[in-house]
Amino acid sequence: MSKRFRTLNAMSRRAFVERCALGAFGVSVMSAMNGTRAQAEEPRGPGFGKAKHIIWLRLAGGLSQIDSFDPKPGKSKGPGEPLSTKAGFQVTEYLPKTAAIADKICVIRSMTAKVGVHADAQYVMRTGYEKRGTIVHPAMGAWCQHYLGASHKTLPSSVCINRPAGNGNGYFPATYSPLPVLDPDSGLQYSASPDGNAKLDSRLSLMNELDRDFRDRYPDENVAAYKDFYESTLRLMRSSDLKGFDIDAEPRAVRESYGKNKFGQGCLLARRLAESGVRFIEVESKGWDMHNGLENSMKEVGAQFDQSFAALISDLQSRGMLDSTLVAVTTEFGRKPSFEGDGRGHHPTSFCSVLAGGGVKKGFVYGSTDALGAEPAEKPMKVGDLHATIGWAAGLPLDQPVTAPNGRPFTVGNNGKPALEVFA
Amino acid sequence: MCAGILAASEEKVQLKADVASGAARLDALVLAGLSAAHQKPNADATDEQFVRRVYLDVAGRVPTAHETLTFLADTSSERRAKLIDRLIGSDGYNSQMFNWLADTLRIKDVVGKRGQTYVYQEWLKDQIGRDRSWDDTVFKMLTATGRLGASGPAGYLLRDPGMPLDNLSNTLTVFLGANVACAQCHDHPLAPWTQKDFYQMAAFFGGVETHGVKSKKLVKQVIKKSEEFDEKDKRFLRQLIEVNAAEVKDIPGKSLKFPDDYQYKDAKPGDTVQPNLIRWAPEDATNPAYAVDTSNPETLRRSFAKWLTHSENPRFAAAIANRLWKKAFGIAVSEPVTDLDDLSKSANPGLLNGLAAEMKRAKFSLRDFQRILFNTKAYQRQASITPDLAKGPYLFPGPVLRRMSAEQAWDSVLTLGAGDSLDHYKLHRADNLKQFVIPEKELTVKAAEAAAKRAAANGGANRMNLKANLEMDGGGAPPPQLKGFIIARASELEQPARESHFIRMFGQSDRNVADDSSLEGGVPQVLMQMNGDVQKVIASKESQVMKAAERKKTPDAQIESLYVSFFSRRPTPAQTAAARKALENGLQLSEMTWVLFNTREFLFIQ
Repeated sequence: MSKRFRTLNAMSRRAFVERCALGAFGVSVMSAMNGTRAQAEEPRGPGFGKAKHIIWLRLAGGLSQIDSFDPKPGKSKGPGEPLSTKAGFQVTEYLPKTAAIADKICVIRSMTAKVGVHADAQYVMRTGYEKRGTIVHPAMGAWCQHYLGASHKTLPSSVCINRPAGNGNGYFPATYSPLPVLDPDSGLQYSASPDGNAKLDSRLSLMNELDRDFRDRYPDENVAAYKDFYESTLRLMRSSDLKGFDIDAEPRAVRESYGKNKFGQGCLLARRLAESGVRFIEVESKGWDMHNGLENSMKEVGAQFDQSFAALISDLQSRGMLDSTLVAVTTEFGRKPSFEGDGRGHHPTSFCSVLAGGGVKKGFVYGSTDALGAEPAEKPMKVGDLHATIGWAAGLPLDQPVTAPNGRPFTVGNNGKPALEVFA
Repeated sequence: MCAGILAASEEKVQLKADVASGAARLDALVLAGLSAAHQKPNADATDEQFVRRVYLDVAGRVPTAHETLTFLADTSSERRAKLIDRLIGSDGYNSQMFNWLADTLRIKDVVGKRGQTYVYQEWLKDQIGRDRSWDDTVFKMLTATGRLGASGPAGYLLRDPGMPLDNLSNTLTVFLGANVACAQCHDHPLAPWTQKDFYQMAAFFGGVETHGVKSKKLVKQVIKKSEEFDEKDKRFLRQLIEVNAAEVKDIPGKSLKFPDDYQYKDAKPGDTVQPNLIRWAPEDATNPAYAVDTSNPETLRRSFAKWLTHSENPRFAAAIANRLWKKAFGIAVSEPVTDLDDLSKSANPGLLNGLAAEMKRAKFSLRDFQRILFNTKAYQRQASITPDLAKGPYLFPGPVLRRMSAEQAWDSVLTLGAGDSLDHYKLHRADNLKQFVIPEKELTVKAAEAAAKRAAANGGANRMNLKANLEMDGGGAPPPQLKGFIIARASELEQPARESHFIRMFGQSDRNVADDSSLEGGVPQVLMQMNGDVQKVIASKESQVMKAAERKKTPDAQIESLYVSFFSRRPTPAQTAAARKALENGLQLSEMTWVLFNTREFLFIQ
């Protein structure tokens, strides 16, 4: 505690002012108008603050741990054979390209959770909190924007690809919402005014004048949010870094190396956006809910993931971005050790995550599961702990709670504990 | 009510009296809740606010200028009730009800790998169009057998082929507001449901097959055969076999077993699960809804469906009534709508009970129930701004101000451009598909192949193709297309719309999760609203609002015409002055439509 107060750097000062400005929660001290990211706090330990960017890969449906990163012999064995990697651990034969870069990644085999229904479990994985009826929790990108400020003057600090924004800002201001790109090939549509900026400005000025009575009569948070969105949009339209959204600018060979599908091109877009200055990018991959036809699905969906993930890691490495970019592979739960028909059912008790880059150990396995792959054996990691670990990598002060508009305090990962052992 | 004996006009009077007394009962309950908290109701909404709101809520679109002015000119004391009646009976009502149901039931054009659900969708529209009672609709969906291409209601269970637990979880949450989320895998930490409870409910569907071995084999064989065809025909053949093979069947002897990793002492892994209906309270033991046979494996599904849709089921009426209240007011009496395990926790328990009672009195007619809602004084009050529910319950001094849904926004844009003729464009997407249903006994690889070849021989014109079937009601000209947009209401288009479509940008869900539509703003949405193609529909010379405005002789009259079209009201003198000044400075009338389209006032419903 004393360390922070002694050196009142820009970051601590902002945090202090933030705490005092609770009443004016809509007035964001760290709003995008304030410019680039603040100085991080001085390091507190290994890996702290190394990740300037986070690429959060979301495998929607429930990645089967035994058929991917935690193969098992015997009763639970799946149709895929285990594949040895030079990092000393095994993956399955469905991930050969990932096996080749296994020495760059850190596999967490001991994830554990309680919820086995997609929507609710996806919410927990995205926010670190269980769904409640009266409040929406933020995704990691909004947390980062709160503590660290905007990552860029004109580009959004958070982007989500292949999925809608889904209240990613939680209880933070609407401007912390991730900008959704539903189709990476199309990128950002309509980013220029067809009639030029001068006309746009004069029309907007008239629009605001005509709309004034309505806005005065209804000081509604959703009405106000739209004003913020219009302002963010206009800033973005004038941004010199807009081309970050355009993957057409990439050489064809690069586009092909990532895989010509929505996930692959989404990963490529994420890399571009990180380069342009977007801090937090989610990319969704669908098709993991393998209740039926698991073997065929892993050969298809698994192969796509394998290609794109390996291409992303290699690309970040060759561009010198891997040390400052944390890539996280997340999923809402795992799948059962025993087969039901030709697939596996939901299994939250044990599943896996993968981290790479951003100060994380290379070629490392954290935690383990029992012989069946049914539950964690060593070092169980809860979803909140994963959040805290990623937040640590991003340089967030995990012990500084945020007071939401409902008066309750919240922390990254719901008081999760970062697994410092994963950091180099 | 002896409807057969009364004459038509007497029936109308009877209905009016029923509606009035139902509305009065609900109003009393709302006022009771407000006064208990020392709160007052809002003032009455103006006629301008009411006409726009009720068109959007009941017909799914803004009123045309003509419709607005007609209503404002009506000075009869029953003008609001008459308008509600007319709109409830309109095509617009059917269209927006489908959108609402589609969001909750996760309606997608394609389920599984390539199963097209047009027959299911048409059946749902028919249920809505004929005002089939909700209990009857739900009962049919839960007990249906048949194939995707042939049976409408079978589409409900076929939404989750081979995933009966997910399907059941949705069933319980949607129709009963049962908070079962966690109990699929273990005893629920926060609600009284245990995992055994969940499995015993799922056991009612233990004999059902939605992803059968026989059909999978046939599909595999046809897919192999399709490799011999060229790309378009290959795809068509695979679609064809899917709608013919995807089937809901009851398999004698099939039953649900406890999972291998079942961890509790109250059953053993691998045991057959005994079906058992859950109870919310001890008195449920004598509730007539529970008087169903749970011992006969052949009738398990029917028993479950009977219990669930029974008028005395503790949650069925309340769940749908609560959702429809939320639809009209913006917030439910009990939030969230997916969790009614404890009715006493709602904002106004008396009102929630009253709503359930009205639903039962209306015999689950969604039209009759909503007619009562829209006729309440509560609905017809000024809107309040979005409340912070964390600070306390919302007690309904009025409806809540909210943004148009994605479908309302799209349909309204089209109304500005095309006028009320929009309501006539229907796409009948199931018609083509039905032609390719092969009788079950004749369903073989050969038969499928032959059908595909026949379709290909006609130049592919008969394939199950959206564009091939555009037509107006009664076979008139196809609806216009503009910039790749088909100018038809959201309920007629692809479900869900494509990701880049206006409708998705404005928050229509991807239909993978129930109730997942959004009213959020966002940068890409604003980009589309400012720079996109869709306002060409409004700004073009052919658009109804432009034609109406251009007929006026003075700038002030033109401004007023646009205001009535966009906002269902006349502009204030200050607004007229500001707009007139802009026109004098060179702003075109078509640009003025851009200005009005981009206001919050347009997008939000007062």
